[in-house]
Amino acid sequence: MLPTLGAWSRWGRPVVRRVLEFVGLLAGISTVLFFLLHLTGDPAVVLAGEFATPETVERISARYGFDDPLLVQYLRFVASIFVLDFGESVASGAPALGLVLDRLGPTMLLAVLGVALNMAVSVPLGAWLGSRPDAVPQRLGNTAVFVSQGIPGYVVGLLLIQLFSVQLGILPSVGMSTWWHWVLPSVTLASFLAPKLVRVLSANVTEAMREDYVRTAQAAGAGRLTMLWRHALPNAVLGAAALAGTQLAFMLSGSLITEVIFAWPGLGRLLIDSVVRLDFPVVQAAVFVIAVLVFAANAVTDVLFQVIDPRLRRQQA
Amino acid sequence: MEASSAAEQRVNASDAVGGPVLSVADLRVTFPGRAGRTLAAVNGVSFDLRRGESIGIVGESGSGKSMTALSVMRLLPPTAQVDGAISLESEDLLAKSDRQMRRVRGDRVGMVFQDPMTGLNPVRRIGSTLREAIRRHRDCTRREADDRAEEVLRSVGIPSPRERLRAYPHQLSGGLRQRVMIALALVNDPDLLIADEPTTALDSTIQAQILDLLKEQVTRSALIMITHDLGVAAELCDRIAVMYAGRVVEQGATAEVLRSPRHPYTVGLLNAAPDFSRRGRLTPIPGAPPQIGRVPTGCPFRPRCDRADATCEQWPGLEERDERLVACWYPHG
Ligand SMILES: Nc1ncnc2c1ncn2[C@@H]1O[C@H](COP(=O)(O)OP(=O)(O)OP(=O)(O)O)[C@@H](O)[C@H]1O
Ligand SMILES: [Mg+2]
Repeated sequence: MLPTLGAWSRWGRPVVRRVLEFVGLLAGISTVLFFLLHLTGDPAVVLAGEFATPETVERISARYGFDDPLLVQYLRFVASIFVLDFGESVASGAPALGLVLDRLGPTMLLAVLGVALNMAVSVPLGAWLGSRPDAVPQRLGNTAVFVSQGIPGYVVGLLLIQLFSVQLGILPSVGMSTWWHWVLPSVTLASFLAPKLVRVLSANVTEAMREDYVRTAQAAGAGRLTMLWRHALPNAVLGAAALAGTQLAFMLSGSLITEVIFAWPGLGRLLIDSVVRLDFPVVQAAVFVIAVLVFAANAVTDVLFQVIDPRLRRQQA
Repeated sequence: MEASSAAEQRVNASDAVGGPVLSVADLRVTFPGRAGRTLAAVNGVSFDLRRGESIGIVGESGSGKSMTALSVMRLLPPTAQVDGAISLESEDLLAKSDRQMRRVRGDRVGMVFQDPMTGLNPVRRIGSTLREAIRRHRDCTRREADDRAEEVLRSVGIPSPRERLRAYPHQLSGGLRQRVMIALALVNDPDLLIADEPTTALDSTIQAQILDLLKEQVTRSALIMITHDLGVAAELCDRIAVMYAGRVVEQGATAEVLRSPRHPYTVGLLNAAPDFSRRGRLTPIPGAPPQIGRVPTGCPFRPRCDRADATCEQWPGLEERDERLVACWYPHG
């Protein structure tokens, strides 16, 4: 019989579970952020800056309520996060959350470009490498990928700038004003992700090509390309889905570094600038937004793969 | 459909001349071994098969049954070397290019493998797999392909076949999956169906159903049935070829071979089989079949044979007597 799942167990329960997880996550993050601020010493001194007079510190202390008992402060802080109130930037006085959200667009753009480029390169390359693992060109290719996995992404970024911006002068390396500006940052971000994905895909493809269902397809008259692209590869790609989580983490750290290298006006750059300036409200808002993004991305990929992969769907049932 | 009438013409043509659908002559499959030696996995196998006929290939593990079948499909491992002749309706299969062979596989020859649990692509719907196999060989619309897929699923006894087209393999039981595998092999009305231990992985009630299904099929095409199980061969096959260490040691009409086995190995197999043992209890053949590199010269069975003597160091040759082929110096009967 075809399984007929109730709408509740199919969608309702997972959604409720996710929401609860999310509330837990918010509580966790606000706790960490709160203690981060208070562990660094007197937060009023930190917020007032290096050259502040005692009066300024006093004023700040009163304004942010740093004189109240710690527990009261903590509860107030958690409550403010649940209503998305992070206060104002110490540096500019603008609402911290607004500053952060302004940077979301560029970060998303970079992420989408990087991931798209990563897929566009890794899937065919992985398929090709995995299709005949013993042939000489593929062996060389595998070695190259293995070596490239050891090169840190920022080195790739700096090399790209050196070659295309400094030596050849054909691609810009600062900012994001034209499409040409997008090239080097997305290549750099993709280079953080690609080696791992290529290796996993290539191993999965090799394994899938030995599966019985590929032989079945061959016995039904499929040629090598059909066996590879239509039978082995979809299974190999789904097998690589387990990688999505670690790829996401890679992408975060990767985009942070990439944004700094290329002066890309995104979230990562803002975060680092704010940490340097000890602009705590902005740091808190940025960390919060990043956490929400990671959570959302994880949840979306989860659901997506459940829709795509019939085997996962069954495990759910 | 245009192409199916071409298939009918082929049928009529072969009926008219009365030639065999498949003819295998002196087939040898060898692998490169150490120090320039060649290892024979199949050594001089010959048989003909007409439409409506079925041959059972039996023998212990490693005797070369699958290699024989895969030779016909031209799906041997890349290191294998094939000699001899294989012709399908008088066309030399060994002379065909890869491209030409792809048009034979799944169209004129269908093959069913042992394990239905792993044989179907887990991420594709049954219908998509069938449709791909149909449209590879037939010029037809998606709808026509779906209709054909439904028809073939129905013909292999799958209930509500139209709905099954949308099912994924994991939604079907093992028995149903094997039916789908058979449907896939039959979807283009092949002249020859090869089944390599199609029921080994199934429980016994399902086994019986699948055997009935294959029996039905034999009337429409020719069948090569590979099996460990003499009972399966007895039920399904007109003729039987007993293989040992790459060689056919006995071949003849199934009923005859089972009633009066001549080769000591056939006798041994029967005595080890629950349905056929004439002794009170089952007696396994002592020892084990040789590994591919360690096949003795002469009769390969002689180390395990109670009739063997120095004469058996010469290969006796597969001799015909009373329409039975036997390779033995001291046959029974
Ligand atoms: N790639 C290979 N290289 C070398 N020898 C091989 C290779 N594949 C199979 N063989 C050998 O060929 C011989 C025949 O194998 P085959 O698969 O035809 O046996 P079988 O009769 O089908 O056995 P089973 O009942 O276990 O399926 C075996 O001895 C096996 O070791
Ligand atoms: Mg076998």
